[in-house]
Amino acid sequence: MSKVKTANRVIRPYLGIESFDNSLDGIQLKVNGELNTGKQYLNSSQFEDLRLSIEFRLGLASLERDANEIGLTLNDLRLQLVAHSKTLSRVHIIRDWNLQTEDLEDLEFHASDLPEVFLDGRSGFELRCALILGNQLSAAPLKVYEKGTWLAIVGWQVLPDQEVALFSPKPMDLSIKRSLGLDSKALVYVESKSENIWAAAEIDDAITVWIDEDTLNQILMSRGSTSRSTELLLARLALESLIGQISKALRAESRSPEQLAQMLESKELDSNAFTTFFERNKGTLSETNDLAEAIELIKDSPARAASKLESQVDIRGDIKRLIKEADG
Amino acid sequence: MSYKSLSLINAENFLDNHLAGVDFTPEAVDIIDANTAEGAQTEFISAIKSSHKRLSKGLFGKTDRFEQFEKDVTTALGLLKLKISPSALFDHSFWLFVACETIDAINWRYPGTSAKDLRGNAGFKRAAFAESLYGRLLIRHGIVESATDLADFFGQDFWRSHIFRTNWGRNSDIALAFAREVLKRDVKVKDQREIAKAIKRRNSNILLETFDYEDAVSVVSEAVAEVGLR
Repeated sequence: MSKVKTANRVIRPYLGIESFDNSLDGIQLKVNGELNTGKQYLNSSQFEDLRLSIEFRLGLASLERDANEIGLTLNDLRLQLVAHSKTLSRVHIIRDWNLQTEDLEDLEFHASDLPEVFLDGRSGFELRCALILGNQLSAAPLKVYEKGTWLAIVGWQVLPDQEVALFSPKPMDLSIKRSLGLDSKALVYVESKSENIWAAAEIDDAITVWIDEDTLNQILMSRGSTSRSTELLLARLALESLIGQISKALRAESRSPEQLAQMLESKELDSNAFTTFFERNKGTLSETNDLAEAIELIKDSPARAASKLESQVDIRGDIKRLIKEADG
Repeated sequence: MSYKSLSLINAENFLDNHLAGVDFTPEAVDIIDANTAEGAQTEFISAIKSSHKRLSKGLFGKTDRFEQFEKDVTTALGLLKLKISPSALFDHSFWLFVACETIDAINWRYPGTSAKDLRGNAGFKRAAFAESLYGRLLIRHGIVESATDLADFFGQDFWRSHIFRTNWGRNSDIALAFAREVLKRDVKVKDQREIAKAIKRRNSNILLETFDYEDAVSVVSEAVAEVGLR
């Protein structure tokens, strides 16, 4: 039996509304200065210091023309800007304009003057802007008449970055491979930068994980169990190489794991890559939650440490993020 | 001004030990937060614990006990919300600490659930917090905050199935209008479902999310008429 593909589509029983389809394309949302193209990821501190700016570039003349075509006037249309919070499951109306009588204005907000739905660093929020019918008209078949019927919607999501990122891999194309002195078929390469890992604030600053760009594209194009296992293998390979590098750095240290643990625990290194890394993973690496033991495991048996971490790391999330970065 | 937080790994570790009957104190981390009142989290935890202790003694019927417990939690959540900052409210590790401290109460509220379900009810899954005990009641509190007539209107099936899990339920005016109608007419569960479906059908072409209370009332009464209730 052949597979039947299904897709959901909203059937809209109105004539002449397709001319509104792209009418809201001129509305732009910028979050912390960056243009949001549909989805944007922020870390938790960015949610606390959020700056939103929304620009409304609407062709009112063509909107009016399209409205007249289906028997509406500009006075019948409203533009609504609404925010949704997932955690609180609430909507918050930010603006609601009558297009005839009220002038649209660009908006700028800072976290401090935004309602709490925007500060949802746990699940993020969604902004939607919709063009709707603002008046109840007399009923007629295939005509837009019910108050609240939408003609066009645009939406943007602002989501929390997953905190579990152990590393953020970067796509490697042919020219990067050449500059790294690799064969064109290289799949994964872990590059140790000159910066001393003990001085780096993030693992990423000292070690870069490169992954073959074509393989990434293949994963992006295909959706099947094969691509899922490719993803996992790739991530596992990258993780193992990364742990290998950390292990090398630890073996080159003259201080013992106990001394290193003491140093990390005393927090004398302010926001150090290792502090964050072990803080997050010592429970996984050591059954007794012992930092020295965790350091020793990575130092002496990196492969075993990678196996332990594998179950904890959101490998799929890492790959998704990676694909997102490759896209952007 | 601070609150206690627990990482997911530590919370999982605690729960594994708890399920195995082993006493284990997880490593909590103090988070300094200028906008969170000192002791607000501790007060909330003791309110939950004392409600559980009082109600588990009997006197009430099983359903009544659970409803009373949810009332107590909602009241405590209302007080908590006034005293903590949004960053604490949305901090997963804040709720993991609360869940581990009150795990007996959660276990009592959802007796006989599997370890996986217990994790869900305690809010271990970051993305599904709205389905946990505290997440659900937080949403419910947001809806009925100013509706004193619904303060005693609990009923897990109603709020969870028909309000929290629907898109239109995010508009508290529609949620309130629907809840009041159900309460006033004493609508049967079967009919509640039908009304919710009728509202959902309207929501595909009409944006109910910005309807005010007056419009919401007419949407609900049209849905009631569609279902054929008199």
